[in-house]
Amino acid sequence: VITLRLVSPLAPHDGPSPVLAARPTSLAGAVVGLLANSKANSGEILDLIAAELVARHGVAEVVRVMKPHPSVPAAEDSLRTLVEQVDVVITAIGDCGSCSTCTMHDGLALEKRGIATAVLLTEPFTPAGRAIAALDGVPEYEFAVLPHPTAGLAGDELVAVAKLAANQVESLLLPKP
Amino acid sequence: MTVLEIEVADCSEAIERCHAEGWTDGLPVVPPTDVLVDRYAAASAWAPDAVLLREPVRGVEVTAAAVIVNCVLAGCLPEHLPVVGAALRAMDHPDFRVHIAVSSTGGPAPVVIVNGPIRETLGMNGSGNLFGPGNRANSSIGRAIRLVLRNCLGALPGVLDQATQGWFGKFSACFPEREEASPWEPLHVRRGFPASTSTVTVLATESSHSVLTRSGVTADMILFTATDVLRTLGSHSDGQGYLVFSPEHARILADEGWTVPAIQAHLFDGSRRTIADLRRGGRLDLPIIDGDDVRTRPRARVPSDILVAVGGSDAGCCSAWFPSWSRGRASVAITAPVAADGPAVSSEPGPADAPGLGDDPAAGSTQGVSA
Repeated sequence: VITLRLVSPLAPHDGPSPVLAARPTSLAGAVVGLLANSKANSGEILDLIAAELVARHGVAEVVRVMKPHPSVPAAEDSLRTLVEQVDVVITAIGDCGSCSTCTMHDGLALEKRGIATAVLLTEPFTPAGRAIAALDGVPEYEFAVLPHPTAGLAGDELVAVAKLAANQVESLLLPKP
Repeated sequence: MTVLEIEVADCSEAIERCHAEGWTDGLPVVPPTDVLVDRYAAASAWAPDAVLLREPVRGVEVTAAAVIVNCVLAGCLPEHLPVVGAALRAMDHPDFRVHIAVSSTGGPAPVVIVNGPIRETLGMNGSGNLFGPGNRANSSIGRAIRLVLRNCLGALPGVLDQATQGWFGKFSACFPEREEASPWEPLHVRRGFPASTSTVTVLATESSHSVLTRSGVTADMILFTATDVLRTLGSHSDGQGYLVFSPEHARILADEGWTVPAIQAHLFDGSRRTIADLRRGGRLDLPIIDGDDVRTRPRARVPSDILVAVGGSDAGCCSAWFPSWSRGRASVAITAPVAADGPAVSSEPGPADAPGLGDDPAAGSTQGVSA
């Protein structure tokens, strides 16, 4: 028997764990930010979810921000606009490898700035979303998971998925019962 | 770095432990013992905490210390480290957008072309089978880069490497240009470096597409075939690509007076597809509108996006086109000197002014479109 000391090839990752934003007690009268990443149907599904939240909770106002590139983190001025103007954010749609991870990154960037954020990914990208949350020090961070793909949906099919998403968004943005 | 103390009967058990820890690409690795890692670190010019690659979406900084362990795993020699480091510095350039290249469903590999004197110093193979196995430096440098992406950027299949299919170049993709067999200036010289400077150029690409003709052909025949390959709908975009001519093809072209800029201009124009075709094929969004059957877009943004190099054995009319993988211009080629003190050079125009990344609807914009 020989004793060997193997050096781990993994990159040490020991940044401080961010604290997730506090959840508002209610969405009544809230200003909701919609951060779309310019993927197909990203803006459309966010609008449908917002309409659901207006009807269900009396959301007062909606602020829309569109990212020019889905796979590049949201620009500083986009984040600042949201932080200054809204109470909570919904961001969509992570439906590819590099945009799902960027969508998670944007959601966590807003959480770090005190804005409760619901991130929408499609199901195949769940492991990628979890990995980004874990790297960011918050493996417990939950996000909405939608059936894949959402890109080609229209009409009633898109509305049905948006309702499914709205249910998850409610539980992500409001305090746990 | 974390150290794992293990008791094993022999070397094969140590290799099995590396597999079990999830550190490998599926092939056996060299167990990174502290003795070996220290020896490589002592031979390297890097400070252990020097950051060679940053990835902002993951929030990860890859240090020299971690890179050295992965070079040991990959089977590198200590003298390979500067080339691995240069490739990582190139991928650290913001225009490379390493996050997208590593995570994308399109599954590209960072393909590394080495230029300059270091090719000979390391005994790299730019001749027969240069894209394939058989050369220690080619294989282990490319493999070390992959292991860094896996072990330091978490690029595990199905997790933070979301490649739908990927390709075999993701094991290892590194080769030198065979400058001595080229009738033209080498790639790094056209990208602004002195011939005597050793460089790496990195571009994230798909697997190669064959530009195969019979022997005894003319320049027109080679370019007719190459044009058809570049026009292919399945990888048509405004991104870049490597066009690696075999020495025989390069000689035929040069003997008939073709320069690299002339070849690039010819292929750039010939690679145009109609906007209607790009929409029919799902490269751009539907619907097809008036004029789409007339308007066209080349497979590049500018002619110099077709990055020409020469490689392969003396005989054979086989050339290769390695196109960038994304539907837009998510990532461009970066060239970095192997010596650590020089800046990396991006491509102009780079992604900053790109109309389309991946599924960006702006990919349907009229930039680069001609009537």
